[in-house]
Amino acid sequence: MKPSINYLFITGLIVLLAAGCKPENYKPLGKATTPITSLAGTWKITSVTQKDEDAANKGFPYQQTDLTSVFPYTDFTLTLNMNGAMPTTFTTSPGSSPRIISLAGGNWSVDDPAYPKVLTLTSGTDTAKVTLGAYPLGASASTLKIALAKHDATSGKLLISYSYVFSKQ
Amino acid sequence: MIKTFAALIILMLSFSMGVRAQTPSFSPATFTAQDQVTLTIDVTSTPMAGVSQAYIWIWANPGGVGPTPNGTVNGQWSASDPSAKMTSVGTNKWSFTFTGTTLFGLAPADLHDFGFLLKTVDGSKQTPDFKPFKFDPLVFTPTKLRIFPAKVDTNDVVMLNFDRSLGATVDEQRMTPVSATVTAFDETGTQVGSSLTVTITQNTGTTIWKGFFIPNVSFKPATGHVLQKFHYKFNGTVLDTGGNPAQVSTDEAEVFFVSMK
Repeated sequence: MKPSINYLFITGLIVLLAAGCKPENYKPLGKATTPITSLAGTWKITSVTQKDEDAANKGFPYQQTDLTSVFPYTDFTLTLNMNGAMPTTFTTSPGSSPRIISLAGGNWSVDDPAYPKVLTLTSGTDTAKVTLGAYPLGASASTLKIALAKHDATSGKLLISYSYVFSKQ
Repeated sequence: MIKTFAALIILMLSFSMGVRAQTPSFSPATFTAQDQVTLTIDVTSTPMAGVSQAYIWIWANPGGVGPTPNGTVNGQWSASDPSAKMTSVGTNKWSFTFTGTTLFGLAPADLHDFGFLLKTVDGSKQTPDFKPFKFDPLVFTPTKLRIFPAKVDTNDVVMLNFDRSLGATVDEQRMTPVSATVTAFDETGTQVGSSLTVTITQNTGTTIWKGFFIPNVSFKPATGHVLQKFHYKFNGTVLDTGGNPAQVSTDEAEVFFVSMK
């Protein structure tokens, strides 16, 4: 008695499936991403953009301008030091650039140790807060983006923002 | 001698108070015709000093553009409407809260600025006019002189712009701009330092020239004072009837700093 075609087909399929059930050879996942450690280092400004947020909100023309070459912003460097994953000290060196951060040096901290968004720079009783635009990770590991938002002191309305892009030195 | 000296000091103080200009404050500092705003004014050294009740008399567009209706709260000059009564917020200080479109019954596009004075209910006493105070525009209107951003604090980068195609005079329309001049003032109206000459460049392919400065870098007010506003104008040359270059300037524009944080 000859086996039917269906029987042969099913048997062959089982053999193929059994042969295919091998563990995949995945690469190791590596260390968990820790954005805060990517902030450590010396960073130098490569571009500065100023945005009229009120004009953008109203749909007016003239919403933003590139200030990079207007003043020598590319002289400005920011150094963030860390002890492991703990922020420690910072220094700024403006060169001939306008002081985008008025503090020369001190300590820095973050709002969230795991996924920081706001950096607080402290020197004595003076503080300056800057907001991270993007973590320097992956393909952008050598680029740090910082944003500075300015609000009407009375109404709290967002009026102007500055975007600073830094390159790791 | 001491009495004479004391009298002289009192006289000088009185004089300084007498000439002190009252500048209203607004909360919020910038507002559109659709925003509610509270104005506060000190009437010390005006005929309204010492009165127990004050009424506002307010009108639209004293700057010369648009319709000029009185505020709907005004009432008659000899009998102010009760809704025009101001709120006392200290000795000789009064406040009034309003929304432009409601107060004047105009569309936002028709409201550019406003003026006001304070008076007694029967109009027997009044302050000088306070005007004009601009509404923050809701519609973009090209102007020959413009700053970017439209609102700036003392530590911002300010871009001055002059669009020659919008010049209002023959000189403005045919001048070749070469520089801009900025003059800063503190909260007392005193000029801060010397005027600043700003280098300008022409936007390629346009009739717009621009220049940049940072107010608190270029101007240092005296201790205890703060920068309040600046004036700017563009300077250039035209050819006179003899074909020789002649110096001309645009009108001056005034910009008040907005406190930001």
